Parts: sequence; C-alpha cells; structure tokens
Amino acid sequence: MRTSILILLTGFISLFVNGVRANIQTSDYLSDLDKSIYIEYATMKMEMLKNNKVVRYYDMEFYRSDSKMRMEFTAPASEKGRRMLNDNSSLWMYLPRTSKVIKLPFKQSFMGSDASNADLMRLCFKNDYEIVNITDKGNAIVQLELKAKDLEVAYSKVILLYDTKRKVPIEQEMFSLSNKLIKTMFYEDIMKIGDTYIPCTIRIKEELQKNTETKMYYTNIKKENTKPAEFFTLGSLRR
Amino acid sequence: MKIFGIYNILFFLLLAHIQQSIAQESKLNYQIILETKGEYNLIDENSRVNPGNRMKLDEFSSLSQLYPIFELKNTWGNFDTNLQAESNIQNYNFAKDSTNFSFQELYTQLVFKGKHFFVFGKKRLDWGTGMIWNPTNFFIQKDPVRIQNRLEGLFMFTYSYLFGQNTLSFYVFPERKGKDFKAAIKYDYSKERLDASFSFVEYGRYQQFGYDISYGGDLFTAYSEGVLKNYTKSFIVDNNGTLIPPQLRSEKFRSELVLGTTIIFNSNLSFSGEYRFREDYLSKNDIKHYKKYLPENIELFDPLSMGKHSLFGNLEYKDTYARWSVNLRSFYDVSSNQLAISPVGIFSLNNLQIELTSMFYNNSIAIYDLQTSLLVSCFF
Repeated sequence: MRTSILILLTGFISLFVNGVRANIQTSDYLSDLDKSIYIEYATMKMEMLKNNKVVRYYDMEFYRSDSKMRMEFTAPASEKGRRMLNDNSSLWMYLPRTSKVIKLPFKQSFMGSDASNADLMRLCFKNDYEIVNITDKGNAIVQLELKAKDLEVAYSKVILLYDTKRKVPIEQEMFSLSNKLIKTMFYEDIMKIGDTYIPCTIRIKEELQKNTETKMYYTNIKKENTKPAEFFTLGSLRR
Repeated sequence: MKIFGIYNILFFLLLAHIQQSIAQESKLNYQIILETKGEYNLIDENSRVNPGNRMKLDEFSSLSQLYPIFELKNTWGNFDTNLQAESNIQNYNFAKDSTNFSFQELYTQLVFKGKHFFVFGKKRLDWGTGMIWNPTNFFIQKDPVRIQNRLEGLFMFTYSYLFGQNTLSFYVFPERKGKDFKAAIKYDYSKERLDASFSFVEYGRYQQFGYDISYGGDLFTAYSEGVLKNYTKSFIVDNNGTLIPPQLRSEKFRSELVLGTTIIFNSNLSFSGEYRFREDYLSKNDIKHYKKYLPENIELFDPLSMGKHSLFGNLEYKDTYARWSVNLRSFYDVSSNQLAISPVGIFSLNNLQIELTSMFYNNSIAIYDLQTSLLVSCFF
C-alpha cells in the first residue's frame, strides 16, 4: 500500500514538473516570438502588389512603444505629412491639408493594403495566444499551433513555423473563426540586430484574393526609440 | 505685399537661422502642391435669388493655386523646434491682374520634453470632430463642398501641456484693438475608444462654450460636436421681410450642434452622415418670408443650407488599393427644402490626383441648376 502511494506520488510530482517545464517552454516560444518582431523604430516601405506589379506604395517612419504605434508618412508626395496613431484600442489619422485628426473605425484596412492594423502592430503573441500544439519539423524548425485567448483577437487560429535556433518566425498562417485561411505572412531577410534576429521584410499574401500581396520592408531598425510616452498620444499627434 | 507681412517673414527667417545654428539635429522637409480647378456653371435663369443672372455670374471659371510648404525641424537637448511655412499663390481665370499671394501658415513651435508645446505665428485651428461642419471652430468654417481644402491659419500664441492622455491648451489671438481681444482654453481627454474635449472662447464681447465627443468602434465611429454661444453670424428676416443683421441678434445664448457617424460595410464600401442643428438660423416660417422678399435679401443666401436643420450623407465606394473612389454626396436642408446631390469621382496616383465633381441643385432658390468642376492636383 505504502509503495503504491509512493509510486502515485512520484507520478504526480513528475507530471507536475513536466507540466511546468512544458509551460515554461511554450511560454518561452511566445516571448521569443514577441521579442523577434518587436522594434521601436524603423523606416518602412510598404508596397501593394497586384499580379506581381506594384500598384501603390508608402514610405513612412515607424515608431512603437509597447502596444502603441505611430507612423509618419514621408512618401509619396501626395501623402507626405500624414500621421497615424494606433493605441491598440483606437485609431486616428492626422490630415495635414486641414491640420485635423479624424478617428477611424479600428478594423479599417491599412491604406488599401492587405494588412490590417493588427498585422502592422506585429501581433503580441504572448498576450493574445496560447500554444495548443507543437510539431517538430526538423532542422531546428517547429510548427506551433496557436489559439486566440478571446474573440477580440484578430485571428482565431494561427499556424506558425518557428526557427528555434535563431528564435524568429518564418511563416505564419492566419485563420478565421470558421477555420478558413485568410492570410499568410512570410518573414524574410532575417538580420541580427544587437543580440536578436529580426525579420526585415514581411510579405502578406491575401488568401481570399489570390493575386494580391503586400510587402513591408523595414530599414534603420532600432530596438528602442527615444520618444517620450506623450509622443504616442492623441494630444501629440495633433501637434 | 503689406509691410506687416514682410516684417513677419524677416522675423521667421531670423528664427529659422537661430534654430538652425544651435541645433544638434536638423531636418528640412518640403512639399509643393499645384492645383488647378476648372468649373462649368449652368446658371438657373429663373432663380428667385438671381433672376436673369443679375449677379453676372460666369459660366466658366478657373482657379489655380500653388502651395509651397517648408518645414524645418531641429533638436537641441530637451527641446524640439519646428518652423513651418505654407504659402499660397492663387490666380483666377488665368488673368494677369488676379494673382494673390498669402501665407496660409507661418509659425514656430517649441516643444520641451515632448510635453510642453509653445506655438507662435499663423497656424490652422484644428478644433472639432465634425467632418463637414465644425461649430466649435469659431473663426473659420470649411467649404462643405471641398472638405479637404487647405484652410488659412490664424495668428495666435498657444501653450499646450500634455499629461497622460489629457491635454490642456491656452490660446491668445492678438488683435489690434483691445475690445476685440480673443482668447480660449481647451481641455482634451482620451480614454480607450472615447475622445472628448471641452472649450471656452472669449470672443471680444461674446462667449462660447463648446464640446466634442467621438467614439470609435471596430466598424464605425460616432461623434458629436456642439456649442452654446451668445453671438451669431446669421441674418434673419422679420414678418415684413426686413433683414435683421447678426450684430442686432447677438447677446442671447443659442445652441448649435452636429451629430455624425462613419460606417464601414466592407473594405470597399462606407457611409458617412452628419446632422446639424443651428438655433440661430431660419425656421420654415422665416424661409417663407425670405422667399417673399427676394432678390433683395441676397445677403442671407447660402446655396446648401439656410435653415435650422441640415443633413449630409456620403456613400463611398473605393477600389482595394484606394487608387480611385466614387462618392455620392447629398445635402438636404429640412427647413428650406434645399436639396443638392453631388456625384464625385476621385482618381489618385502617387503624385497626382484628379477629382471630378458635379452638383445638381433641386430647389426654388438655387442660383445654379448644375455645377461641374475638374480639379487636378500635382504633388512634388
């Protein structure tokens, strides 16, 4: 009797320890993912392609602080001076022609691109998702199946190929609530910045409209910016 | 050019030189915009406002505008400075003697630690959330037919303090005569999906209390903007058809408010709508008196809306890449029964925008039956 209790107890302890280890590992994956796509400053070029031809482009300066993002358009000439602020619950646009700020519906697509505002924010995996399945694909690549923690999150399911050696995502498939593949994101041109590998090009393929694609090129990447917290407020966007 | 204008320019050039010489980091941005608008007007010969075209309005007209815009940004220590100049050179009907030059904006901004903003010079006032009508903007109202038009700034001193999601701003608008002294205070607040602001304006002998609120949902925005003011800019007509000028109607507090929304149906289709109430404008009965004494009462005329209740709606369809859009805009005044319907087509390239607008008027007091304009904007 005493022996069986001891075996049972050992079993429970080992299960608990393994569970904790697994949690640590899965939580590490999500933290590392967030780290590899978190940048606070970059100059960014966004190209919208139809049938592999660029139909529209925007150049901008990209600033981020935690879940807040601000963009300042520098090209084309018709969009110069335009600013956008996304604080993860609201979206505003500053129009230089009238010097006015207008509030935009949050789920409006970004300037006619395949990217939603959530895509541009470079998702916060740890806050929004939990890992439900891990598959080893060999060569230090794993496939992570992520499930959204709540309905507020833009995509209910994400399947992600993750390079465990460099700790960067490679490919990301985003699914709707009805399990339909909506978009695929490709993380390319991976560069080492400081001690982190960061994808400098993100390609978004719209799966519902097969012939369209959006490419985002990040240059002059900085992991930190020097802007004060007020820079990411509506008050500052107006000025 | 006025001597006063030349002194202003010299002063700002001096400021630019000082900022440039002590700056640790410096950035110069510029943009040049060339706009040419050609308009064809089909004049209503039977108009009660302009019978037989007694105002001698042209069938064809044109307006060319050039906007050179310069921005000099400097940083030194905890200070950021910004010097902005936007001038406007305009010409009517390509006539030699109708060229005007003005500064739309000419100001310097000093920012300390990203929280304290000081502005001095001529700058646009950005008050109000309304897309078409902004009752809180007590100086300049937009042209409702061209809401993206660049407005002229006001000469002002302002100080704004940003703390968290709040902003407190103080404005002084210098005037040559002490009795015309104008000042304002505004508080802006933002929390999650809600933005709000409250303002008070001392307008010479008059006062204005204002608010604006906006809420942003996932697929819509809703907003409201309003004022309570004891002055008016509107004429009114008495029972004998006599015009009563605004200065005789001020003193009493009256309200004006706007309610509006934007709804996104999908990535291509959206709707925007606005309703405006103006207590100090004409009721249905006033409109009857007004019509009776036309065309003498021309001062009061507004081609889109003269009554207390105005409506605006815009249905927009744009292509996936925002290269072109088709809009159907309409204005309706409930009191005067003025209806104007305006289809608009906009085609945009990276450095070029072409806008074709028509405006059909359907009411007994319109000046035109139809107005059509072609606006070509080039950006450099």
